[in-house]
Amino acid sequence: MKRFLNFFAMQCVIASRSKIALFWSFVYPVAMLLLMLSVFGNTNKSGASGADPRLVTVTGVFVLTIMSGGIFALATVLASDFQSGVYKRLKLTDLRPGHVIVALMLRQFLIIVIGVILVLLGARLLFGVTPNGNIGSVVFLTVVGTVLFCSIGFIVANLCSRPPTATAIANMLFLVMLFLSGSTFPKAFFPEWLLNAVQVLPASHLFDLVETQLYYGESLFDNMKSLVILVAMCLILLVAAIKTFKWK
Amino acid sequence: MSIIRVTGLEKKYKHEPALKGISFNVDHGDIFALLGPNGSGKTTTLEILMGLQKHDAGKVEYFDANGKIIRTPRIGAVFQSRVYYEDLTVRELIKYYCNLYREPPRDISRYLGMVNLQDKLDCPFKHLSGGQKQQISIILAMVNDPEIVFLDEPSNALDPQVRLKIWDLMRVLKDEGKTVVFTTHYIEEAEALADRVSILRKGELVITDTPLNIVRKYNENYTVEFAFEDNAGADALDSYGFGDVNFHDGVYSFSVNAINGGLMQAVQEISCKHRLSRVNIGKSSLQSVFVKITEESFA
Repeated sequence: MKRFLNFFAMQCVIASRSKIALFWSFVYPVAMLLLMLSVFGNTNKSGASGADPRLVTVTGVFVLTIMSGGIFALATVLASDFQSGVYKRLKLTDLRPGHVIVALMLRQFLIIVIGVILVLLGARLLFGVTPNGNIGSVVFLTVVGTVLFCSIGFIVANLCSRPPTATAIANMLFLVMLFLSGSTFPKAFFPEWLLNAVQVLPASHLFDLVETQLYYGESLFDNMKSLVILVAMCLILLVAAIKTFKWK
Repeated sequence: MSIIRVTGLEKKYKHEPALKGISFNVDHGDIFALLGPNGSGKTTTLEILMGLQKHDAGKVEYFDANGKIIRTPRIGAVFQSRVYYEDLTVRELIKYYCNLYREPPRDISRYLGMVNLQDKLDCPFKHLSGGQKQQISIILAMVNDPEIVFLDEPSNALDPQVRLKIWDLMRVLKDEGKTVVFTTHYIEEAEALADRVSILRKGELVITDTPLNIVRKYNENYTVEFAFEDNAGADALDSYGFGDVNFHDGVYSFSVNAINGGLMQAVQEISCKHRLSRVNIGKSSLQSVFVKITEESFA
């Protein structure tokens, strides 16, 4: 436990000093919120459920915050650390792969929670958009989303021997999920075949479930299919991240 | 008594053999050098010994002071690349790395005093010079009080003053009873520090012995060196019939079987006729033997 806590503390200090990490974790989501609400938020019309339609935009930025904090932060930084030999040195300590994976996911969870709070606060204070939903369910989705996207980040870093390759693959995955999950373009415009295809994207299910909460204010179990798929994907990707982990 | 015994170690990268069945022992408390040109398999050997790479065949065994086989000793490691989080300060690195081991943290402040880097404790690692980083890396390898310290080209690309400091630090580790295993392609480093040396060439181990024994075994000759202030060096040496003259870093050198009257006469005459910045006659060094061994092996 001492080693785990020590490694976790070290990772928090490192993240707090990384200007790039701070930008992508906090500045980027808030900037996207400002941009998207400025573009799509000029409406007072009520949505189908009577909720503020701008909450769909907030939902999109919420999911984007989790994705960037999970995929980008881990894939790019880890790949670079693997290549430079930071983890080769750490392997010679008494740290175990489990310590590394859990500590990095926990660090990213804290960063993502702060990012999400900034997004929700920004939406409320700057645009007067108040989300619906149950706080417990939102926290649950944030945890599942963090573990899932951090696992993807781990897998990309584990499988790519060069940091530029890891960055390129992380970018590709991020952009595909950003545009096809419903976070930026409403799924209502998607043709049937695309609607079926995006079922393989975890971000699509996360978006649907967060939308269920923030926009519709319904129970998580009202979208049981997406919930089961998301949790299953999360577990499978977590196992894959652990199995593929290597120290260099 | 051995602390490490390597037997028939083989390693391939894809289909390219990197180590071709090398065997050697390292004794408790020794400084042991793996010497060889680039690509000879030094770093691969070191990483296999540290458990960072798997080998394809052969055995690596560790022994305690009583000669009993042990699973893994406490090891410290210094790598060629920068393996520390460079945004952290020296103090933070020491604090965090000390607490990544099961054993309680060891006091390593004495090492900082030895290299006069106490004033750099609050300096981010990335702001240190190359030499300071390397010295701190050696100190950070001591956080778990290792029995064996592995150093991969510890003084590579460092200026001579820093190199001497690192050599002093390595001698201190030996004085404390630690076993030091290092790789280098600086022959003078192996000659100055190592109790025993293994010379590697293209994945094969050519010889393991003390530097003195290697020189004795491979070369009983003397080396004569001249450095000329004018440009007449090659012609002057030619006129006396000295064969196989090498030229390196402004110095002409050749080997002779014995120091006799004829040689001394020639040296005196050359000294009178030309302005010389250096004349040296001595036993062949490990450097000349190393060149000879690796060339023979290549041939």
